[in-house]
Amino acid sequence: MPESNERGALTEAVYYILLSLYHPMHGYGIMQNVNMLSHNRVNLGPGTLYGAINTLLEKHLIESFSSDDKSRKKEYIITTLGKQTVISEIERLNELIINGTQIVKEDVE
Amino acid sequence: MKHTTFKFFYNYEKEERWINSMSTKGMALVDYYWTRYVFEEETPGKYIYKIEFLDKMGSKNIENIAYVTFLEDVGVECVGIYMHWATLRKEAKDGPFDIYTDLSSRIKGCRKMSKWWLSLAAFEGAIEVYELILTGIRISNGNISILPMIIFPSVIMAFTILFFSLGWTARTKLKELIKESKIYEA
Repeated sequence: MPESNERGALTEAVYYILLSLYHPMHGYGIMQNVNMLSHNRVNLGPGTLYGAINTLLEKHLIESFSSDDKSRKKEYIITTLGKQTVISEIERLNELIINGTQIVKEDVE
Repeated sequence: MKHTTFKFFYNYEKEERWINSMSTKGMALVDYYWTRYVFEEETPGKYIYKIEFLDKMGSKNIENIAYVTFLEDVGVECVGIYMHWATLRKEAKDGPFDIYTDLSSRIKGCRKMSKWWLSLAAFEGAIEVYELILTGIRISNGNISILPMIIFPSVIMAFTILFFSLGWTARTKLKELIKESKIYEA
């Protein structure tokens, strides 16, 4: 059976990590940023973040970012492929929202 | 001042609760290796502790070193690693402390843990069978002694049952998480 082209949904953690990395950031920065973006709803656990960063690096959705300052902390930034992934995820989310609000609205009326 | 205590736990969740209750009382764990716990007097409740089951064994493993460095960068300190078990702590003022906050990594962790306990149970079980065969041979030779015939097999049997029940508990939890992941995104 041929494999489906459909990519499925991004996890919430991955989606927010990718969004955070439109600007270079290190691990702790990502955690704080995701927390802020989600108004304290999403708290990334260190184990979850570590696993996600390694997978995203492997899949070339993010890459290491070398800045001039010689800080020990590793920084990361989103790649072009990562940005494409975010854009198609936003399209998918939009479809969900449009269908959801439409049907719920009809039901209320 | 440092205080060293020796204590044995077979259930890491109970161990975690004990370490945290010590922290609440103002005794913060600063070093750990197997049954040896070193505490330091500290502001009560300053740290929250968690025990994590790691993929790889030992504090000298390259992957574990990389992980511990990452943890330090995000404000989590590693108190000690013994075999697969890492004891981690974070300051309570930085908010709640959960190592895994998504379903798929919790599923992965549970699966690893249940495999580990069940393989230990299988190993102990194999030794048990071997012991029983030896006992059979001893009896047929008319050689009867309490220590190798009753004590050894009973101790090994107890460990087999303990490891099996720990593995089974992790497996039950794993199944629950998998069910949840069918509804909610992992």
